[in-house]
Amino acid sequence: MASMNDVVQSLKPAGGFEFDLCARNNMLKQMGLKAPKATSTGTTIVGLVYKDGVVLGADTRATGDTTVEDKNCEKIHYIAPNVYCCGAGTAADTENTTALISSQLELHRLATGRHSRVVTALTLLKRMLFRYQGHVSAALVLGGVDLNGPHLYTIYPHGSTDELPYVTMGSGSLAAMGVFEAGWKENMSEDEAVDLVAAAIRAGIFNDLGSGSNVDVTIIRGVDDVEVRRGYQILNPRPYARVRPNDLTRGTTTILSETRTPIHAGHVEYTNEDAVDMETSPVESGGPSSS
Amino acid sequence: MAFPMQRELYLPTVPTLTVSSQMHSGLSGPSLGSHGPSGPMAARLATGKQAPVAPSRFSAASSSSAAVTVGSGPKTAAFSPYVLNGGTALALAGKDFCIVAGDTRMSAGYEIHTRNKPKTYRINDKCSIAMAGMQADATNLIKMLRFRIAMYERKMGKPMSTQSLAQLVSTTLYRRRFFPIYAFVVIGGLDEDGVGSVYGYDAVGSFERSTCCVQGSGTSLLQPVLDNQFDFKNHSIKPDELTLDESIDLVKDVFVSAGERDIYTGDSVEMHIITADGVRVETFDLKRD
Amino acid sequence: MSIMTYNGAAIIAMKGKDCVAIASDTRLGIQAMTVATDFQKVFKIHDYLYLGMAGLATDVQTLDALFQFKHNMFALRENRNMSPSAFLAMVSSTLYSKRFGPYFVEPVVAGLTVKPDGSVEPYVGGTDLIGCISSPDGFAVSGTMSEALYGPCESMYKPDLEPEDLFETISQCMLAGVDRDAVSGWGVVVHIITKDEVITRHLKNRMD
Repeated sequence: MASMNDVVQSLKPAGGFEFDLCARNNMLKQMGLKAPKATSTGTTIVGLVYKDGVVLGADTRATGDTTVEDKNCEKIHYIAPNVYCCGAGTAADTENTTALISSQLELHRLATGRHSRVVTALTLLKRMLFRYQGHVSAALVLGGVDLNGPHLYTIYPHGSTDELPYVTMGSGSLAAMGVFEAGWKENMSEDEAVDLVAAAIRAGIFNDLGSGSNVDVTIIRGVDDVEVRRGYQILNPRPYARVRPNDLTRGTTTILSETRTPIHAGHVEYTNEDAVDMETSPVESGGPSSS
Repeated sequence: MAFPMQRELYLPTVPTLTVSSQMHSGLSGPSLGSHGPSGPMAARLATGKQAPVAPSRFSAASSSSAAVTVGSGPKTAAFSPYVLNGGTALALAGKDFCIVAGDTRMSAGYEIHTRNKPKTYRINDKCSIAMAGMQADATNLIKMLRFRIAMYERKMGKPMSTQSLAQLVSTTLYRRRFFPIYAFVVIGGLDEDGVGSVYGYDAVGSFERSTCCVQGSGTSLLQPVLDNQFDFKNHSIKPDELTLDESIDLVKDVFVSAGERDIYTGDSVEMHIITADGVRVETFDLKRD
Repeated sequence: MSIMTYNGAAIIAMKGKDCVAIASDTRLGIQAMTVATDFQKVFKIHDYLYLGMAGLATDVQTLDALFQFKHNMFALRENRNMSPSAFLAMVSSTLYSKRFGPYFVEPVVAGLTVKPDGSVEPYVGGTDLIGCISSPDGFAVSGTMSEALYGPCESMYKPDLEPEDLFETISQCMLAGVDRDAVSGWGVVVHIITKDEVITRHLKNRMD
């Protein structure tokens, strides 16, 4: 008989994907039940190399089929202090893939004591995506600055990559690329680059139904010289507020039963406000000392 | 008039939609996919000169005529006669007014075809129609209806009542029971007593009079809002019935709400406000993303 | 038919002023057939945190047990409760670990985060079935007809409502939504979580 400890151990995540529900899910599929689709980011994401670095841009709409699931989601993900990555495709995949590679790079930095290189991030990402043969559906724009200067890559869900001075991805990529092809030139200034990136994202927001809401921009000039401009342009505020107040009079809803459970103050504690600093020198007497 | 001639030229060369794998790969003969006309003309071509058409005839599998078999067997050139252009249309009926409104975005897939294609059509001083669904079918339906309304008016010497129009739309839709017109109609107007009336339809003419009805891509978003804020369903304390201005205010608010969540609803709204004085048209801007 | 609509559900979480609310319907169905009208879809994790799950009912119950277990283990080890955002991150990684053989569940959480000064901050959030987190400003919805919940919320929600006004808003949004969904309804339960108490109310609604 399994001990409690075995049960606890069996429930601890082993790391990596688990496939134990696949057999059951296939059975459900054979019963004629359709598998649902996850939230995807029908997206416009872009990147641009300018004189001193890289500018990344993204819209902020996340859709599930034809409804907007998130009006202000963050699609420019942190990879390293000098590397950021825009994600399009299945939202959960872009989120987790970038987070996984970001943590691998952090460990690598701690192990080597050196700043991450953009190619290292690129290689880790493409290896992971290639290993999963496109099933991890993340289409990425990876940009950063390292000792070899600015770099900008696109990574496709199957693991193929490109290195280019200006790139676009997602369902709005054609609209955005149109703007880049018309307006890009070599050695742009930072202001010119940010303007062009914002214009490209706007083309996606207004012409592609999968993209919408705001423009996010991230400027990477060098290691620890990064500017994350979340909500750089708020383009689509709610255009009308109802004049007649639709305040619902208290008592509008008919209640069948009610229970009130008091919560005793101090019963719930999340914060570590009472936490004591870790001792770094021998304690004279019992109990922690304070400085 | 080159267009109809071209149709005649094509007729003998493409007897059916069934194409051989050779034709499919473009080696011989015109295939509908690459050369042939699309839309209603293709529909005509698919069946040669036979008149009434059921949708199943569009697939070659059910066609009895000359299927050319090469290699692995006959290939079917799929043809879908429908496209969904999105958008939302609605109508509200008050005590002595009616509002018919629709957004003006027309799209397919992730693309906006135009930001200015109103879904509302004025019929006479007493009523308007709004339609969501496939705009080609909607345009054609309104053309057919206008013709039949004109015939009625000539014959009867009076404008058609909202009630009669409601029945006419139903029969017009049901005529195409086995090749439906892909338009979701809502009628709003004043009835013979001057009271607001709204009729909502399915694609084959089933209809119902109600106080508010939403059609199109924003239906599931907006219908519950109107149930709650216009009909005051589930309210144990019923507020006063909405006045005309308050109803206009509500229509604007619900379209804005739909625009926030439905990717197919946006750009602007065209509202037909129907009172005893006639039909007044108002427009109102929505988000364009 | 999709697996997500096999049993039917509707869930809304909403932020108020120093309070949150979470509501669900109580129907359990097998497609169009109603099996039970007292099915629990919102679960208490701790005093200031409630989790609602819509989707396949068997997975809802399995995951309730799993999340309860995980939270208990955390509380034993750390001698504190999880904040709502930390809990949602745990839910997210649990779901994403089954990326290629998922649980058919879309969770929504509503809770209060206790700040160092003792005040509380409302939090609502949710994930899709493979754990993509969204933590919106005002409300989160989940269920078989999420559009029918989004519409009323988008139109009727206002920020910073007092608990009793928040109750009316979330209740009316819920009632409006479930009346247009064939596979949810048959009773609605609402929890309003404030700093001092949790109010649980069952609502009267159409039983069809």
